[in-house]
Amino acid sequence: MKKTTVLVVDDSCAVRQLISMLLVRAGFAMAQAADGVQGLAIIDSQRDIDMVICDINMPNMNGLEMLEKVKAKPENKSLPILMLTTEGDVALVKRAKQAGAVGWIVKPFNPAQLVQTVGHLTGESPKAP
Amino acid sequence: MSLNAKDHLILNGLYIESCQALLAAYGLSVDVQEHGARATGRSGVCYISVLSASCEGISVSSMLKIDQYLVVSLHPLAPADISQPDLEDWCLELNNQLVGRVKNKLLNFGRALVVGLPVLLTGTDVTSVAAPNSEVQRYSVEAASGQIVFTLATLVSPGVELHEFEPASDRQAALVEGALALF
Repeated sequence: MKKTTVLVVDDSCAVRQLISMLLVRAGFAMAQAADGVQGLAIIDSQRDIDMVICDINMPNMNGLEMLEKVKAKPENKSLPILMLTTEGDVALVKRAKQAGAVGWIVKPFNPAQLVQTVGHLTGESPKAP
Repeated sequence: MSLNAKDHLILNGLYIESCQALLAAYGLSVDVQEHGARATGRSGVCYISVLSASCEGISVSSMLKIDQYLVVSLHPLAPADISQPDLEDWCLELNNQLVGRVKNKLLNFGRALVVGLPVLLTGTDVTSVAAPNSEVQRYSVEAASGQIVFTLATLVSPGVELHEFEPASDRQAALVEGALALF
């Protein structure tokens, strides 16, 4: 049976590793990208991405730009994209919501809460740690 | 004393609060102290990350100088799983999260900083240098696994004054760290 695949897009390798470790333990498959350009390429080329967790401040293409480009494509309308960032500016939160993001978490995140949220957004029951 | 002494004090206050919150988030509950002029620091391998942010009339630069073993202890992964590039990356991410906190606090003063991308310096006996004309304050923390020195350089244009919004203001407050909003 195919595992639910989550793409994490963050320029911090440590954040990508941490999220991947948590979600793999919870039974998810993972893909990683270091900026919006890579994230967009993976979403376009790898059709089995079930959810995206995306940072905002990244080189080359930031997370909001990536979100807007992904959601501009009709085939991605139902792809859940959760923003995970140090930004707490409500103007940016509103922009992400309008662009089609499903949620927003301000770093640093609570690991258990993140796993639970990914489970909720993908309809998958995370494995107990 | 600068023309904008009160504003520099506010910025430094927000920075200290952010430093303490950052360290507490990674298990280091300590007081961030002013780094004395005679403090010499340590001579082992350390990392320095520099991150600048600005908005109209305000420019800030945050420099973190962290001893190698302290970066290891603040890293969320187990030491056996951490490589040299991971330590460099984490030093950058810590500064990113620090300045992110400062940005979120400044939103309550009606100022939206645009934050750049952090850059890294590494080596031994690396000394951080701030831009000329900046007001520079240094703070430090001594932990069992090493020292961290925070340097905040601020430039505030004449005529700029920081005023915090009243709690009853109808302006929506910024989301705080750890906040989760599902749409």
